[in-house]
Amino acid sequence: MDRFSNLPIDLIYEIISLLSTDDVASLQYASKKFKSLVSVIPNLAFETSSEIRGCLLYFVSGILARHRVRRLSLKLRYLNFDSSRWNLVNECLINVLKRGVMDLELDINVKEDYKLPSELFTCKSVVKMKLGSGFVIDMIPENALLPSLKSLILDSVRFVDVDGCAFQKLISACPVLKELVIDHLNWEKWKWCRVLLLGVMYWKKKKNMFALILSYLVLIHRVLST
Amino acid sequence: MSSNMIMLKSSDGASFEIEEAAARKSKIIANMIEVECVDEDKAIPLQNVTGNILALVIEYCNKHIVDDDDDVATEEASEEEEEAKKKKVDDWEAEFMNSMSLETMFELLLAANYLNIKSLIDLVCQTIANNIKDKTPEEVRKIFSIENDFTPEEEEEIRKENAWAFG
Repeated sequence: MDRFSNLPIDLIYEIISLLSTDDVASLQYASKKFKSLVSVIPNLAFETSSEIRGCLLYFVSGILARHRVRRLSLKLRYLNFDSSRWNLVNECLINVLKRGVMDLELDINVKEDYKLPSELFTCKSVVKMKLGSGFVIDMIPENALLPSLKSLILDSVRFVDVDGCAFQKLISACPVLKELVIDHLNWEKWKWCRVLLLGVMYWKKKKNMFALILSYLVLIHRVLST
Repeated sequence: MSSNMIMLKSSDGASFEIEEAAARKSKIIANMIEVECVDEDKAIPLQNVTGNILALVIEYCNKHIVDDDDDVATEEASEEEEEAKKKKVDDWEAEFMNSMSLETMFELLLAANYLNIKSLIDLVCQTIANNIKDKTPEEVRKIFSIENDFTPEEEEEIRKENAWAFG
């Protein structure tokens, strides 16, 4: 009889849901019982091309089953999805975010308004996050915190929130961020050095028990305006 | 501020007096109060909770009812004060969980589940999860007394499949 034997299954899942995918693997390979409770997918990638477009629903509902995903790469470009399909994509994302994903790559480029789920900014487990082209971030939730995020790559991400501090808020929510790569931005509109400094200061004021360790910062600006 | 007191009785017959406001942290007890099946002179029998665990549950509820009162009183509190207060609660919870054995922790989780105290369920689940964090399967087995029922061949197979997780 192990310690978990007396627990109802929903409590065991509650505990499992708090673990990163690597930690789930340790529990999973402790015994056959735990191996049967949950499966881990080390790497999951989906990229749209005209031929496999129809597979998205299958792909998404597959993740919605009781799986854990360590690395998820989702590239959706030029799709004419209606809002219910986008909701399904976000449902899948939220599921993965809540279940300990560690490496997340999102490249969603669509014409209509697509809104990232707010869970993206409160994920406890994600270590590396790449947000790619065309994202518009108009709101960072108040409780934003990415306590494990070490590497953040922003490719053509636009921050268009009302009070103009979404970027600072995002950086402030990453206490252990080591690498920040900003690629392809509307340079004219952003004074990034200043914004970054503000971000650091804002963050330090709010949580003065840590210090931001940012050892690697890359700004790439491809479209030079002369 | 006067407050109604409620009597709770554990499975091993120990009686505890608790403020109604604190007891209401438990949805089960709150429901019992709502439907007025609580007799003021009689203790509520909790058949699935032993005295030592019930004492811990009550300690938790009392601590958190005080915190809730504070919230109302200092609605205008500054961000710093809010953070300081949150830190105080976090520190208390960390110490509270630190003070008990893993066996007690699991019993407390069952009690919180039975009494339906969401915040306590969350706290204990998180603490148990923290015990699994960064451990190898061998360590996890040892901590939670899990018997390894894989054959050496199966174990080797798993190791190969999951080189990413076990280094």
